Amino acid sequence: MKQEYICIVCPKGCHIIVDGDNINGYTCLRGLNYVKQESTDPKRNITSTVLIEGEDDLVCPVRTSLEIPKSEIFNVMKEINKFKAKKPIQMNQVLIKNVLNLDVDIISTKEIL
Amino acid sequence: MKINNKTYDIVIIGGGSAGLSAAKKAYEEGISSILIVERNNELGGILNQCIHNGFGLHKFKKELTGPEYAYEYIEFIKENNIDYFLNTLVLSINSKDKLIVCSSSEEGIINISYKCLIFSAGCNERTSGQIMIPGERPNGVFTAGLAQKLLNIDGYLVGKNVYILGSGDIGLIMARRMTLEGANVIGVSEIMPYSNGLNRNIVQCLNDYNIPLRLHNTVIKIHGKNQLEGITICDVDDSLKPIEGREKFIKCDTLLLSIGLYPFNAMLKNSGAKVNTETKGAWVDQNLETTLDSVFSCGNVLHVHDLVDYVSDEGEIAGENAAKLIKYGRKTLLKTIFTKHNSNLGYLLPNEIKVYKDLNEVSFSFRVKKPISKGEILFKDGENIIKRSVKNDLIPSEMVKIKLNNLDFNNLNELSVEVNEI
Ligand SMILES: Cc1cc2nc3c(=O)[nH]c(=O)nc-3n(C[C@H](O)[C@H](O)[C@H](O)COP(=O)(O)OP(=O)(O)OC[C@H]3O[C@@H](n4cnc5c(N)ncnc54)[C@H](O)[C@@H]3O)c2cc1C
Repeated sequence: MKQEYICIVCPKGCHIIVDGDNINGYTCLRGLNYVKQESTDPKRNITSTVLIEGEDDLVCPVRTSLEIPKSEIFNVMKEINKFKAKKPIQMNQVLIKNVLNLDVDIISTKEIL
Repeated sequence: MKINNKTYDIVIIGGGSAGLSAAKKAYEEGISSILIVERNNELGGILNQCIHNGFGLHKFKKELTGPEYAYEYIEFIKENNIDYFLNTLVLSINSKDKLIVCSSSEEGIINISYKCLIFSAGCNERTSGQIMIPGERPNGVFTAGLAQKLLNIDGYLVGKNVYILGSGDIGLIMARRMTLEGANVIGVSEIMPYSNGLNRNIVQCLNDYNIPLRLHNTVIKIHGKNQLEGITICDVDDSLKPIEGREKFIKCDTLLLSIGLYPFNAMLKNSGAKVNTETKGAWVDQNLETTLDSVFSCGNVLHVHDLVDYVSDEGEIAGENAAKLIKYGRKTLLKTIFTKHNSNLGYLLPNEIKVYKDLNEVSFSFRVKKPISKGEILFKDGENIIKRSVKNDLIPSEMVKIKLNNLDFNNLNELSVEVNEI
């Protein structure tokens, strides 16, 4: 079955058409890899924030260390929203290790001392 | 009242990505007397609230979040002991005496003298007043950037049932962000027949979460007295006028406006700098120097950017040229060429080229006015074509950057840029 994808790897947004084993329209290797993944098991990076102990109006931005399956996004968000970080927070510190056994960590994206 | 006076070689107004990269570059060029003045309580500017990833693909060859991108620069500033004042608002620029007046929470009013000034104060968001939506002004109407700051820095979700007007990237990114935080994002309306956001953001921010995008549609009324109760949306015709009978009421408690940004250039304008009427930013030459002596402008305050990498590049140009002006003084001007463009371009920078001996490279940026599926880009001196390139899928939301190099600018009489549909 013919399926069209818009690549999200970079701002270019190539239109890639997958027809069985035939893949057309990609302009780089990352695009090809993206569409192979997207047509079988779509994955996304998630960015969000976590609460900080002792802070009322300051949160710490975080991201997943690797992409997670799309179907796990809201489950991972629940874990992120349950968590409270302790200061000081270093840049790219692991805050939640191996979240939901997905082999992915939740790491900070800001230094908050 | 006691007034503090300070002096620096280079003073930078605004510690966002433009100001940070200008400081870094000027330092690398050998200037150590540099001061960044920032009104916020931290450096980084708008990047601090852009916690999503997608930054730095050009400059760092990897995908960073906004705070991570800023960190790369802030670390440099700290490691090299470049001075910065936080919680310090610049009130005015006095270009005649080469000083700025600031108000600091700690020190009160400060006068700071400069040899070169770099103005990198960022942009503002358009509000509903500026696009004249009829109805009340109840609580619940926010610009998308303000909602982003409240959520991503302060941890405060502004509403539960959300509608978004405007399909710019900030609106799209907030649609996903609020959905992840449990809000119900009902839809996005865009008055134009095409989206102003990147395709990748339509896919990963709207399609991923089944949020509808209505093109050629807009909000025509805001309902609710104290608190927003709903909006009326309506399809529009080709002249962007609402079509009767195509109205629809939507119940919501929050309306986010993602309807455009404009340079926060008022202070520079008030100090007498010439304004580029198309960008609303300053009128600049190829070194990004404004019409005020030794005053440079870069980043979103010069023209609104969609890619932070380009903002950093521009900061570097301003920082490098400010440093060179201090180190070597001003070169003899051979002539000035004013740049022109045809009607398919919304604007073109730089506005003028100051030709000195040995000038052989100039960077140009522009945006097209409407989508052009296949465009021929021509650089011309009168009827003589200097450079021709072809580019597919030119859209207004993507800035085009082109460098002219290995060219003796002293041989040119004029310079115009044309984009033609082919
Ligand atoms: C909401 C938003 C989302 C974006 N998302 C993306 C994205 O996903 N990917 C991407 O590549 N690009 C994105 N961009 C574009 C890019 O990141 C920004 O354009 C860029 O970071 C702007 O840098 P800047 O230094 O010009 O402005 P800013 O970051 O706004 O910095 C200006 C600084 O000047 C300070 N300032 C202003 N006036 C004064 C004064 N009078 N005195 C002292 N300080 C002052 C401000 O506090 C601010 O810190 C986004 C832009 C915006 C506005």
